[in-house]
Amino acid sequence: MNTSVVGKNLRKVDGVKLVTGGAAFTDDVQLPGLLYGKILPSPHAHARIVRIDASSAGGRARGPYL
Amino acid sequence: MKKLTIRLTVNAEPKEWSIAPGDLLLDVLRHEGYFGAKRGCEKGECGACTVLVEGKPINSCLMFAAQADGRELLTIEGLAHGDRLDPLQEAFLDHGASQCGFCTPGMILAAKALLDKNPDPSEREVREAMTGNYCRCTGYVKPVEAVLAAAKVYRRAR
Repeated sequence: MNTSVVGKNLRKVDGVKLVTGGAAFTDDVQLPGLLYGKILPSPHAHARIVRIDASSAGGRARGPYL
Repeated sequence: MKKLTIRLTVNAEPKEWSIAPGDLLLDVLRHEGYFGAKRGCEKGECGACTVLVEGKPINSCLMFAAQADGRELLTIEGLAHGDRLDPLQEAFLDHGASQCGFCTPGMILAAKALLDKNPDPSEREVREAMTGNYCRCTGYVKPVEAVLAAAKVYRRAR
């Protein structure tokens, strides 16, 4: 068993990325065709979703709706 | 939307960007590829989006990009010189002051603003300078230790 690191302070393997701004967190990943989500709460309690009126988004909103 | 052009210096490089008047500095920086400025709370509470404007730590989520016109900015990407890390970056590594690392760029830049002004701060002064930077992993003891250690190197470099 290799115990050469026991009791030693070691730098994290991803440390340099973290201190230089090079680490990519989820929000830093940009993929082609990336979709942006928006939550549209229902104005009615316990209602069934029949349709979604996205006209106030000026025609920029498009599916998929989840 | 009407566009306007701003000219500024980012990490010692001159930039000319076309922006909308209402664009936030954080959004423009990230759009231009400076992902080290993190989008945390977007209301000036967490400090993850901190960048230095004329050496002062600024929540870039609270500043319009238009206000950066003609200014000099430093982001975390511009702190190291090639492979040579800033003493603050070295100290954060040596002291295990970065866990998930999301708050790290903002913390390091806030600390840099302090040490550039006062390279011999007390622990209290370090804590005060970093009150605007939240860590949600592990706490503040190690970052404070790291800044105090880096301060020694800053003092020697003077």
